[in-house]
Amino acid sequence: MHDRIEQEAAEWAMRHPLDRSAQARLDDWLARDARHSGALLRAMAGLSAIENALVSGTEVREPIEVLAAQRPTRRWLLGGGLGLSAAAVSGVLGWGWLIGQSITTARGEIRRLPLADGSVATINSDSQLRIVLASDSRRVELGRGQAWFQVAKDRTRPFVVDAGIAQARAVGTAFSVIRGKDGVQVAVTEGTVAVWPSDSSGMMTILEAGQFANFKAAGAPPTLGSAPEKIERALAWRNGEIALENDTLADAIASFNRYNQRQIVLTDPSLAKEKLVGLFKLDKPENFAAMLGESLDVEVAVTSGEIRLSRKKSADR
Amino acid sequence: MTSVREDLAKWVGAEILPHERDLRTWLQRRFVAAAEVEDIVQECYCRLARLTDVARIAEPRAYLFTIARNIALEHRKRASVVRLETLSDAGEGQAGIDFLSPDRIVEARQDLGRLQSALATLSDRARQIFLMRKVEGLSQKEIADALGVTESVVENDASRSLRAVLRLMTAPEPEGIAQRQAGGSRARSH
Repeated sequence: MHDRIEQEAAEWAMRHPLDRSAQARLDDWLARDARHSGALLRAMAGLSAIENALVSGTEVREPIEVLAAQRPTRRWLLGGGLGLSAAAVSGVLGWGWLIGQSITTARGEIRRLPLADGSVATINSDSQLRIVLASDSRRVELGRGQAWFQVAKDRTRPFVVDAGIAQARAVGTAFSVIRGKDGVQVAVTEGTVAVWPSDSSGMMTILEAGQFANFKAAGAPPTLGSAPEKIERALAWRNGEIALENDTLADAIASFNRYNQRQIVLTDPSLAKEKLVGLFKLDKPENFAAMLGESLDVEVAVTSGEIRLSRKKSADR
Repeated sequence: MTSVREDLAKWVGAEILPHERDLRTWLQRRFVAAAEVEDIVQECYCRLARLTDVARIAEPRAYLFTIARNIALEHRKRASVVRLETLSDAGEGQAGIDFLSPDRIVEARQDLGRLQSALATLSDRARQIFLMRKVEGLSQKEIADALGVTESVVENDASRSLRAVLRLMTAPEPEGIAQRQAGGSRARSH
C-alpha cells in the first residue's frame, strides 16, 4: 500500500508541466486518499533536494574582473559527461518555422519591441533578428548585432535565441545576446539561462544572473565568467548611453561609431590605449570628443562627416 | 491549483527530509512496529503539507519529532492498545534532549553526505533527467525526445531513481532494524 502510494507520488512529482486534464487527475488522486498529499510533498521534497545537490556545483560566486576572463569551465558544465548533447536538445527545439516577424535596426537606432507574449526585445543599433511566436515555442533568430530580452514567464513555451554558433534558452528571465564578428556572447541580467554551442559536441551550461558565456567557434564550449556590474554597464545603450569604466579610447571610439554616421577617427594610434571613465549620450559623439579635448592632450577637428582626434602639437614633449 | 507548493517542498527537502532517517530510528527504538513507523512518517508529511507558513518554525527537526510523537500517541489512544511508556509524556523529556543535542545536529549534517552518496548511485540517464528538468524546466516530453526514449521510460526511470534516493537517505541504521524486530515481537505479545 505504502509502496503504491510512494510510486504514484514519485510519478506525480516528476510530471510537469501539468496541463488542465493532468491537473484534474492530480486533484482527483489527492482527494482519493488523505495520505496522498503527504506522499506527494515527500516526493517533491526529495526531488528538490536531489536537484539542489546536483545543480549547486554549477554556481560560481567569486566575481571575475573582465568579461573575457578565462574560467575553468568544468564546474559550469552539468558535471563531466552529464551535460546534454546539443544535438539532442536541437532535436527538441527543432520546431517548424511559422510566419515570423523580421526586424532590422539601422546604425544609431535602438528599438524597444514588445512581443505578443508579453516579452520585450530591446534591439541595439545595426542588428537584425527574426521572431517566431508559436503555440509551443518562442524563437528568435539573431542574424547580427545585439538584443536584450526580457522574457515573460511561460513554462509551456520555452524562449530560445539562435545566434548561429550558440543557442540560449530561458523560460522567464532577462538576458542579452550579442552576435558579432568575433563570436557570440550571452549575458544574464535576471534569472537563469541555459546556453550551448550549436554543434553537437557541446554541453549545456547554466548561467545565473551576472554571468556570461562567450562563444568563439561552432562546437566549442564557451568561456564563462561572472561580472554583474560590467554586464549592466555594457547594457547602458538601452538608455541611449555609453558607460566607460577604464575602457580604452579605441574601444570607446568603436562604441560611438556603432551608433553614429559621424565617425570618430583617431589619427594618432599612441592615444588608443588611454583609459577612460564616464557616462555619455551615445548619439552625441561631439560631446565625447569635446570632453577628450579638455582632459587629454587631444586636438579635436569636427567636420560634417567625421570627428578627427590627434595629439596636440604643443603637448608633444 | 497545485496542492503541494514548490516553496514548501523546497523547505521540507532542506529542513525535514534530512531528519527523517533519525526519526525512523527514534521511533523504532521506542518499539513502534515497522508498519506503524511508515504510517507515522507518512502522516507527518500530510500535516506538513497543510502548513501555510513555515517561516515561524525555528527548529524543524524538533518540530518533526513533536508531530511524530503526537501522531504516535493518537494512534495509541485510537487503537486502545496498552500505552507504551517510551512514547508517554513522562519519557518525552529525554527524547526532547535527544533530538536537540549538538551531536544530533552533527549527525544531521552527515545526512547531507548521505544524500551525496545516494546521488552517486544514480544512473547517467536518471541524472540527466533530473538536470534537464531543473534547467529551466524541460518538460517530461522534451526530455524524452532529447534522450530518444518514450515519456513512460523517462517517468519510470525518474520515479524509480527518486524513490531509491529517498530510501537511501531515510532508511534507518541497521542496529535500529534489529531493535525494531525485537520491539515488534514485544508489541505483539501485548
